[in-house]
Amino acid sequence: MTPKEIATHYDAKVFDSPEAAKVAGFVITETHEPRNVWNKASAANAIVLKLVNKRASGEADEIGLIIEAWRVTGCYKPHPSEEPAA
Amino acid sequence: MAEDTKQPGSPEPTQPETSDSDKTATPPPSAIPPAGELAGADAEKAAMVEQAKSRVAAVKENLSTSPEAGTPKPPVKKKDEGPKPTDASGHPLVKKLKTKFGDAIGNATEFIGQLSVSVSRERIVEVCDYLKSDQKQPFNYLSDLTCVHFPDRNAAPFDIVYNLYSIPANERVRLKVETDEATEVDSVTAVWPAANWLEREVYDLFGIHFRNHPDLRRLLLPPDWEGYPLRKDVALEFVENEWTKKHLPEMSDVQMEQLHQRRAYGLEILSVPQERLMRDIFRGGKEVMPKDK
Repeated sequence: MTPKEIATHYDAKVFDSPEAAKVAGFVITETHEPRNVWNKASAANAIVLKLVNKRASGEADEIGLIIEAWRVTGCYKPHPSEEPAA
Repeated sequence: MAEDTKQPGSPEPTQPETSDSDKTATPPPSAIPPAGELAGADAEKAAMVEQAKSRVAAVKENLSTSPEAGTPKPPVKKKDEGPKPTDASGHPLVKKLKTKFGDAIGNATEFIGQLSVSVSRERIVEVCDYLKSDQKQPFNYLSDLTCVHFPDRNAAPFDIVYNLYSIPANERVRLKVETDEATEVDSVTAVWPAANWLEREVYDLFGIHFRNHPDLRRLLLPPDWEGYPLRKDVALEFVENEWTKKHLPEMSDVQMEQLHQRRAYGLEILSVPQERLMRDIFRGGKEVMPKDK
């Protein structure tokens, strides 16, 4: 599966840049810079699985994947109760 | 006067050469065809053009009147789908196992002649022992013992897979045991001593614990390594972690640059064309920027 298909499978939002994710209120997690497309899919899968656990535990409201040509980054929207007070 | 100066034995004076432009500008009187010939050439050309036009019209007419014109091409025939696993509950070996162990034997499937049987975790050693000591076709060789991670299966995300081979009967069977991270699986080292290192490998790479194993410790990775790298939540590509920070020397700036170059080269030759194009655009912008500054 491609990173986009993986994101669709796990009901994660897809962004094309970290700025777009930040604007949408998402918190950036880990970034992988894989050297080929197979490793890119694996990296996306690894990131999304960790985010799925975060969503299952209630820490994240929504999860997302920032897919760039040379990089994959995870992001999530914190649950309102988890967000630190400003 | 020129004729007067001409000597009897001297060669004929050559005519001065005229340029091409002079030729085109003023053709010699003999080169100009009479008016009647000109009209004939024009008529010939016109006739040729008419013939060509009529040929084109004929081709167009043929295309429009042919039955295939305008009809869509038939869709490209898809390749036939590959073989799919079929139910193998009627297989003699499965019947025998079900008679002996009842509900401990789950689904049995056959895929391109390979028999797979699902076995309950609690009775795996009994089943293995029975198969090994069978008089008719003893599965006396543990060909492989491995594991598969299915992250979407919440209750039992791991499958322990036992590939057995009967040397006397030349038969193979695959046993599968579903388990999770927290539950231990009974070791089959008592049945096949060869399972020792295979179970250690599964423990090392997937984190599955085997009960009654004589020496359950990591096989490939260092003892203080954290995590299990063949699980799906670990990326294929190497990522720096606590162990590498602690044990491996820190890379210098030059080494890091070399690593990035190698990675960029790998991306260049292995990535898909669209990504390569985007990366070129990105790099192009990066190169231009310092010059602009």
